[in-house]
Amino acid sequence: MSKNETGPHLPAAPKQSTAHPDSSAEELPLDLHSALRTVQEAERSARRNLGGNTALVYLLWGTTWIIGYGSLWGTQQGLLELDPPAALGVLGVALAAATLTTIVLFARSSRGVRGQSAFQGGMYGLAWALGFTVMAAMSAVIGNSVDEFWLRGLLVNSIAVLVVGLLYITGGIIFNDKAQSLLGIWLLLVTIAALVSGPDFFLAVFLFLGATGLLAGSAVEYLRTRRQRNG
Amino acid sequence: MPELDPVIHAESRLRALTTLNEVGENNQIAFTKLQKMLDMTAGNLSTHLRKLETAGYVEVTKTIEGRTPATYVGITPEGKAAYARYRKNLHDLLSGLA
Repeated sequence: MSKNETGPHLPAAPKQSTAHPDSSAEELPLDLHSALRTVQEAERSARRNLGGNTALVYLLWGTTWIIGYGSLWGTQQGLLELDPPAALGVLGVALAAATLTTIVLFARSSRGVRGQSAFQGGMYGLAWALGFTVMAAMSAVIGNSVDEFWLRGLLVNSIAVLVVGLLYITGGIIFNDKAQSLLGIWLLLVTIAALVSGPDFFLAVFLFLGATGLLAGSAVEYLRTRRQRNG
Repeated sequence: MPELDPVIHAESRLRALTTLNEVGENNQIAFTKLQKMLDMTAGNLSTHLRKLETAGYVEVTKTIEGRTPATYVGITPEGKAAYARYRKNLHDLLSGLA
């Protein structure tokens, strides 16, 4: 190995653009520190481009829970001048918007990659779609069978968060993401707390414990990504 | 003294192989997406991928998506092993410098 290759500081790669003329297949040899920097930067860039923005997704869902459950809880407690069905409508619209945005974000990051991870991502997406289709059907049955509005809400939302919690745990296993699995476990614990607290208090549990868990997950992901970017 | 694989030890090929290693052995990435991620010209990336392909480190697959031709690139098991060897040797050499 030449002295040049082991020297600590050869000129680094251009900062703005690494595009080279088409004919330059041969490049100046890298020194060891430049090689390590190149590897670290390429790894960070690949993870950023391929992994999607998980922090943004958790932030989106945390905010959705605050808006949706906040509206329902505020209505239930008499803090907002909304009818319960109107507050339920706010939750529905917020959930629909968040779902659509999440689909777009993940579709953008997974576009252009095929193979095992595309299969895993596709099946995981299908699991979400089927899980919520079953949940919607179950909600219709509950809606026809249970007269009391807030008890109906407790049952429907607990089933929804059960599906979300289980799929977060599964997602963590598939994509080797411990934080996602832990968030799933937290949401299942929140569901138990909501069911135990009953129709009068379940909204406070989802609002204060569930949304907090999602926002904490967003903060953890943001800090983890920033640490990776800064090496 | 460990040696660094000269096929990998060039900036563009090191960036390309690192990215393909992140994409994973059982996955392939579209040439256009890889080009955008690496900020390289199509001709330059092709040239470097050809070198990696000749060494058996990457596999280039041409296909048709709808009516459009598409090229996908993936790291081979040999490429993954060579990359892991390169990283270990780089680490050992840097440890020796410290």
